[in-house]
Amino acid sequence: MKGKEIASIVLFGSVWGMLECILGDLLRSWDLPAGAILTGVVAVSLMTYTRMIFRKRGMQFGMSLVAGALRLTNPFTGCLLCSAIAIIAEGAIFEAVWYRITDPRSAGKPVAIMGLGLITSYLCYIGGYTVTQVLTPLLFSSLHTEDILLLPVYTLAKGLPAGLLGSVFVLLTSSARRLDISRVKSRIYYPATLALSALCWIVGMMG
Amino acid sequence: MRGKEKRILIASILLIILGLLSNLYINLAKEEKREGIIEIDGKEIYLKDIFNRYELVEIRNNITGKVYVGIPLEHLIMGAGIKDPENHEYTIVGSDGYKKTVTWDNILQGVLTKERRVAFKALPKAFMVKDVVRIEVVG
Repeated sequence: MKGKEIASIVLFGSVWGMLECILGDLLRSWDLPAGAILTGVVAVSLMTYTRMIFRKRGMQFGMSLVAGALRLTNPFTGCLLCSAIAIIAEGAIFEAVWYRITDPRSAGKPVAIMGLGLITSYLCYIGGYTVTQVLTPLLFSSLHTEDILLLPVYTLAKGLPAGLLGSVFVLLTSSARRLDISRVKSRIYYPATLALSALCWIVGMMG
Repeated sequence: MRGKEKRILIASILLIILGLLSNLYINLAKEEKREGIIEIDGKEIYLKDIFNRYELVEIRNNITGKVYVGIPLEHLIMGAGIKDPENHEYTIVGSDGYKKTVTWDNILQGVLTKERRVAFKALPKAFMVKDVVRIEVVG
């Protein structure tokens, strides 16, 4: 993996993690579906953009590791470990869905790109939500099977908004290919990514 | 239309149908919230009585730092006449069927707010069931 790719993993993972901490809390306080918005807009857009620009498998999983680590440092919301693992699960699911895809345009017409976005976002949400619902009781109380009998139904129901948001945002992100940050000169790229990443960590931790 | 395109579209349509059916199921299965009444182990408890009888307490969730005001869950359980409450677990059920099971120790640190939401001192948000319609005694 090249230096710029590693720097981008740190940068985009930090942005993702910071938004999970800051935007997540804000959305929840407004009673908006934070999970669906964070997955369908933030996570899927950032992962699609980096996959499209760098065309490198594994980068998005790396980003999820960075975002999950940042999430662990924010002490103000829910089960930290569960949230961090849920983010990492989203990265892993993205990698699985996009295993043979480097460019969303390869899906075909815009409607197919939207379909790809829907599938990716829906599955990422399902993975993240399931992890949270199973891990949280395990860590804080005990897992009761009767509590999770309807989990698949809830997950599918709650994941629909995430899927629909993902369909729109993957299409929008696919049209942002001209904003190719990999072409930024190294002497600017490295200090800028370092500074922005550090800023994200400070904001996320102070959250 | 290419094969790949077709597969993506079929998969996304299937997911949308599954999502819609799941939402439909949850809405159809939704239990009607009986105004002012909560069921504990099959007994109807009038919230007005409980809120009049006991003083409201304030708890701060030590994970989120948020403050919740309500009546201690312990009083609700005792009010329902549950024997040996410390020997049971309690499944809190919301009107949408969402449920979470907690221990007596958790109950001792929990409140029911006027908006019919349970909140606990030491449990994360996933346990804070909204629109509580009943509490079942387990074991």
